[in-house]
Amino acid sequence: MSSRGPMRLGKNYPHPPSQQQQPQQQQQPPSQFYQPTAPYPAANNYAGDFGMPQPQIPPSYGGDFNVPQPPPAPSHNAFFSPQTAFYAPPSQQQIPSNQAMPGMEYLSSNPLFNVGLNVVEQGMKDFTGKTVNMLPNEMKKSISSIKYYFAVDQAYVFKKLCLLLFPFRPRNWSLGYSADEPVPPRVDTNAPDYYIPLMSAITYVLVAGLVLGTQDRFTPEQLGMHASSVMVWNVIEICVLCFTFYIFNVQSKLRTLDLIAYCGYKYVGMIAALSSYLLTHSLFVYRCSLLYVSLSLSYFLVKCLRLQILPDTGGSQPYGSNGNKRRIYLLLLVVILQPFFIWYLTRHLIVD
Amino acid sequence: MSWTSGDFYNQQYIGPTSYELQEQYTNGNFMPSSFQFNSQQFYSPNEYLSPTVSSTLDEIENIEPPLLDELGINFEHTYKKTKSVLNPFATSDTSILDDVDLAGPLVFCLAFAFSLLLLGKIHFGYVYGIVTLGTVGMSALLNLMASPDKPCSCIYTTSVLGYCLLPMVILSFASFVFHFNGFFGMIIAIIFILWSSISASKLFATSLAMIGQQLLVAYPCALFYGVFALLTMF
Repeated sequence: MSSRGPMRLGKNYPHPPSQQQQPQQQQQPPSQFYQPTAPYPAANNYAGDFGMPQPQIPPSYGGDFNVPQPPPAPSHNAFFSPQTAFYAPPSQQQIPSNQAMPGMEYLSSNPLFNVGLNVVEQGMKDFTGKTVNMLPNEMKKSISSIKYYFAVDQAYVFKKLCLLLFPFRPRNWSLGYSADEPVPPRVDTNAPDYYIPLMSAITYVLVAGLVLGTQDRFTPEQLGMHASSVMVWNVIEICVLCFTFYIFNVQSKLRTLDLIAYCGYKYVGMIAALSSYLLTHSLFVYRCSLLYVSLSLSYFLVKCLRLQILPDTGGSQPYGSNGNKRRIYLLLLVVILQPFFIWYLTRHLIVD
Repeated sequence: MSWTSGDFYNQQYIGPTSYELQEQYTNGNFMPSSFQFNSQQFYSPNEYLSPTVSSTLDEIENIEPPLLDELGINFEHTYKKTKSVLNPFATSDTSILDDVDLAGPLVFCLAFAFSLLLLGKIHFGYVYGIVTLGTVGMSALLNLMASPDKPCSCIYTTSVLGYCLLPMVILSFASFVFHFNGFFGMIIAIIFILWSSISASKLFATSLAMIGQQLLVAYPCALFYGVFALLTMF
């Protein structure tokens, strides 16, 4: 159950334990068929695969030219496939069957992942008033994976905000896992979430309106323009980063959804810088706060993403030794884009 | 029979007298009693009318509910909800929360937009747009954050957010009287925003059973009402 796409899970990375080996084998061939670069030598592909049956070898290698594979659902989409977003144990991909699965006990221990089809159905039925059977399966999986990022509580938000503004204390930055699934943010302070980026982006729009209002430049259209620019710049940034991951052929355990969360933390710094300007109306204070916010955000992101993008130092080298330099450059790119956007999205609000 | 003059005048009249004849005809029968067979053999109008319709027009009005019930407007509930918004720290009557109505919110939104007219700003479109976007976003956020067994519909969110708009309406009417500019005005606006968002988040947190997330729900409400404060002040 590796997700295919720019944020591909490494093959030897400890995956969620595949409770069913069979579906995993069935899942792999379509994705491997569409993989642009094969990490393994494709020797098996040439071994008698033109018409010769190979019952022993799993169909992943020898069966590509023989067995007509059913077209996979958008899993081979390069950038925004729902499957890259869906980091779940294989048992959850067998959703249409309602049997009790061996993987379910891991799901049930984590109440957030206990969103089976029936629960989502019930919730969506009350929400929309219609039956949810009209929703495709992919949408339900996406909704349940997005719900993971909103499982926050007040203590987490407070700690994370303090961390964003002062990350220099020595602490443990590793993510918590339970049965090889990431633990929801409510439990682990290091996990990314969507609540803070979303709220801080909207707050940024409002604070921008406030700053414009104090300068007598406010009209309600400005709110809409700022909101649109926030959304568009976010999309551009994520596209650039995903494309860079793809071009560099870096396989890391960072998912696209995680990257969206990490790129959203810059709005907290933006608000801090703008508020300092609002309170003091001094350009010097604004520039100092901009500098400090950039430094702290860069430090925070380096510490968080280092564990996810750079390879493990202790394990074997599945990613290749010359991949390290590319990974470092990629990390630097992520980290340098953030202060640039902070400066770019606030400079038009500052008047001398 | 013989038609001698003596027989003619000596016949005894055996038919009905004129009084009896009149009696027959006053009962609504159109035929004399000698011709009245079983009433089932010919049409008698009285027997075919149903007793309800035959009565007056009042009964026809009672079949339809009154207009306010049909529109779902219940003034009692509206008044109670408004009172609970005005005093967010008092315990509210939870029975009224289930009655989802949009009439109160509609009135408050229109009142807010009209108060902006007093300030010379014609922002009906912006108020409508912000209310729509805000309620859709808020209900999506609540559905994502709350547990799946307590879903929250858009209509419910609209109702709650609309009722808690009342302090912003007060603020905008007050800003027509006192000009809120500068630092002092911002403080007053922040107080009103906090008032609105605390009452809204209290309603959400109690009805959706969100433990330890009330502040997290209050913050988006504060952002929502902050936009209205921006419209009022600037």
